[in-house]
Amino acid sequence: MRRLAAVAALVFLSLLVNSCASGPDVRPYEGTKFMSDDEEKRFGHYVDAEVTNQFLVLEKKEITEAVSEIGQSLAKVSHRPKLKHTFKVLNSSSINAFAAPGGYVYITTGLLEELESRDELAAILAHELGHVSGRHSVRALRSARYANAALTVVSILAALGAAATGVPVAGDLTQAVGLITTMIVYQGYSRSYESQADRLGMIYASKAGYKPEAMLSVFKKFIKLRDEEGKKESLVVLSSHPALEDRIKAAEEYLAKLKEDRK
Amino acid sequence: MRPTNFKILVLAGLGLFLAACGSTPVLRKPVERERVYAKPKNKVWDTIITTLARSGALINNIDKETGLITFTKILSSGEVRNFAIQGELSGAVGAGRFSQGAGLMTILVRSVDDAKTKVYINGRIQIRSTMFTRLGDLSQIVHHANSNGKMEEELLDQVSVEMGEKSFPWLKKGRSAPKKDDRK
Repeated sequence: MRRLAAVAALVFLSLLVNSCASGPDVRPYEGTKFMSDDEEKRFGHYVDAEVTNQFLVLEKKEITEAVSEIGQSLAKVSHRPKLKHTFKVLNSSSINAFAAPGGYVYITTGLLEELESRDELAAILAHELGHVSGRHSVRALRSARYANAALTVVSILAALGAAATGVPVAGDLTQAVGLITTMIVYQGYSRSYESQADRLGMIYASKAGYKPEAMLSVFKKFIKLRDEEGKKESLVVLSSHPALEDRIKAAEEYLAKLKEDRK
Repeated sequence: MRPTNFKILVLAGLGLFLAACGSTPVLRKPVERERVYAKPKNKVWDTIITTLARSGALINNIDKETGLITFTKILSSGEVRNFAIQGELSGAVGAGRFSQGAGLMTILVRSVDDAKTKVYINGRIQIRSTMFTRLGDLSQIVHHANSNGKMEEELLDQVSVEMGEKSFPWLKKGRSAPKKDDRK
């Protein structure tokens, strides 16, 4: 009985420590056993190559530098501050923003056109950094691996290793790159990952000195666009996210909690 | 059932069937295949060439004097779905396995005056599909579908951004944009 009580106490203690350390249900190192940070970075280079092949990367310094400056200030206060983050503006009329493995974050000029302040841009970028911190793309790939027997851990990692030594890229890596690119660009993550990224986004925005409430104004804008003739089809950013009304409600509750914590 | 009623029923059924097959894409706003830029022809021409080259288009013909450019853009199956008229596409893809898609586009750049240039763009979507014949040979079929205008509009928008016609003043520190409703 005494032994059982000791085990129960240890379990309780570990749960307590874990919840304190992880903060707002973020587990930045979730999935590292499947793919290490270095492997994730290398995988990210391939996804970036795929994305920049499909989209035209904007080279206007006054725009790209401003986006990058806001993004870097948010990355510094994220859960992965040591990761080298890269922010790119894509010249596309589709309304979209997404994050790739290894710290790549993209936003389209179509989405920039809909925004009205640096706070709103910070809210979008911070949300994407939430995906980076949560290693959502890696975790999604791990889930896909279960669904698709062809994508085995060994084969993808072996291909990553082979590619690093100059051996032509193996089929499984190409397949994994295609799978993740389609998911991040067109489909989005699961509802739980999106909700987590929303919460993390508000924390990062607040820590970096931006108004976290801008997340709400962005969601309200998306609702307006969703219902606007001729805009709905361009709104790729919402393809599989939770309902905007639910996200607004959840964000309002979380903002109230953030304010309460600050007191 | 009287024969006349039967005929009406068959015709109505056939009509519904055809309507379902030839479903048209949802176009919520008029398609834009031309745009006037407030820049001289040389500037617009250079921007178009740079944009096409950087986006990986294969330029087939180019003539600055006439302002004519023809190019091919290789498309993924997802892009084909996005850029082609769906009714025609479903027939094409249904006939075999999708192997390659491409946008076959033509651009015409014309000077309006010293400060303005008009750009026209139009094209068709080509889909190659493969299928096995009854004798077991692999055969490739080429289909063409009308473009729904999105690919054209995307290029016109890209050129606008590259020429600085679209800017985001609120990006500068300490500045916020006028409200959306006030911009118009």
